[in-house]
Amino acid sequence: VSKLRRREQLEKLFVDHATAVRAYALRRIDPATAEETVSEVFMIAWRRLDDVPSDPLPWLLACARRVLANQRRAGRRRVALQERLSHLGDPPGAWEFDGVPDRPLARALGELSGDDRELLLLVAWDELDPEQAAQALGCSRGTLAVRLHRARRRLADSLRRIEHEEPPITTMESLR
Amino acid sequence: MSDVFERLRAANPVSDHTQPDLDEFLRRLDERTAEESSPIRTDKADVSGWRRARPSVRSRLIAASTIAVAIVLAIAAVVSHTGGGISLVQRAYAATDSAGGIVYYVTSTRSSSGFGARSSSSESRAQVWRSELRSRRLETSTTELHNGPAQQGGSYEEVDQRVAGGELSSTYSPPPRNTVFKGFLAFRGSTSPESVNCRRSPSCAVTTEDPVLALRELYAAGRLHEAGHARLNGKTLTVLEGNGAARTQPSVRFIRLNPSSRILVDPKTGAPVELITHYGRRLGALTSTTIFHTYKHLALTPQTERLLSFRAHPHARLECVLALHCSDRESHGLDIGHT
Repeated sequence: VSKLRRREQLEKLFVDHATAVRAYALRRIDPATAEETVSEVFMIAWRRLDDVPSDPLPWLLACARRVLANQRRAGRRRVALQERLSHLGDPPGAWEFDGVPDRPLARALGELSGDDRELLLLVAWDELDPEQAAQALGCSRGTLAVRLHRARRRLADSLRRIEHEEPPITTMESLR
Repeated sequence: MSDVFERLRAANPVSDHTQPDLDEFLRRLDERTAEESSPIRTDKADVSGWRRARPSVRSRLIAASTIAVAIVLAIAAVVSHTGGGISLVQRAYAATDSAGGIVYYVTSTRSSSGFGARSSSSESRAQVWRSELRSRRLETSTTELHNGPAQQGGSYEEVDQRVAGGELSSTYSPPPRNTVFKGFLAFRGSTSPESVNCRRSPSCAVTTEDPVLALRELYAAGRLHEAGHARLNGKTLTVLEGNGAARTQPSVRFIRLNPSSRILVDPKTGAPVELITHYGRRLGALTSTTIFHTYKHLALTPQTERLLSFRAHPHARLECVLALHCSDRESHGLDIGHT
């Protein structure tokens, strides 16, 4: 494949999916860093164009997830990023998203584990179907279905409790 | 539950679906690749004999230049952050950055604590390959607990590593030895003692701390300063000294550790040669000495990439969500699983 042809492939990839990657990043980081993340993701795609699967969106979003984590690791924009990027794998209760107008829902999301939240948001906000979400998270579709079911149930339980203003359940684990 | 999901969909906070600027991206791409040769084979006539030999040399050159550029960029980033010239601390920080390639190091670490009948010591030798995204570690360790079992030890190979719920979990073979580094993301990959929670092993608390990550944490926190020179094995090395953040020993939570570190680095490259850390000044406080026998950067090539791959193992639960450093087995064959 000629360089020109590869360049065309990359441009098509960018045109088709950069908006989705940007939206993914914007939900997790400030706008300036989100733009950088988009750029970085497609740089990686350029270097590994042969590895991009036929359905590229899950691959690109998984890549964006890693890039965001790496940006934190590299210490760039440390102060600003630490608060926002911690949403990727933070402990339950630490997540808040000012952009979510439904505050009980935002609180309920905050009580989920980072993995549960990432899975739900990939499906609900990034509009991946289960097959794509499984690819993005690197698990089988069967595993994904189980995890998704449990994550939904935990979100529903949290939301129900929050809206009835019940105190959070205290577990032995949380007391340690 | 479906109502909850619909409610979640409706709460999507990003309504801005502006298409990112393709031209701007292409300009940045061209800038990034300006100093690299094209990684693409051209469509010229097939000269198979020539072509078989040429790409390996070429790809090595490309990879080497990529690493060189990345290291320069890393140094430049540090310089711009501080606004000054490149100090040795900054150079040392850049030297611990895998910078698009792989940092490979062989270390031996000796830790000791306590005194008299309550003393214990451990020695380990580790071989580590570390890229930006993942690492692999082989370790041989020996522990002497004077108030417990006379000696424990063995050789361990990391066969699994995953990040979930803010924890970095590593599984070593042969079992039993699992380490969970809590707050992995919060510490940007650091395995500082306060974030280590060892399971099934009484001796893996501080000794499992990766010295390179510990160094990066110190460098990034700006806690080190140059403190003269020292001679070691006939070489003149620069001394860096500083105090780490106070932390709590994981196995005994009421003990506060106040680590102070002394690092010998190569003044030309900033590569670490020796790291000595004292965790407090009280009698019998833990002291750890790590010697770097080998420390080098490897270009990331298909060959070196394999060094990061874990071997097939029944206890492995690999997370490999991106094909950047994943073998086919890792990226397609195994589920993440949950604990």
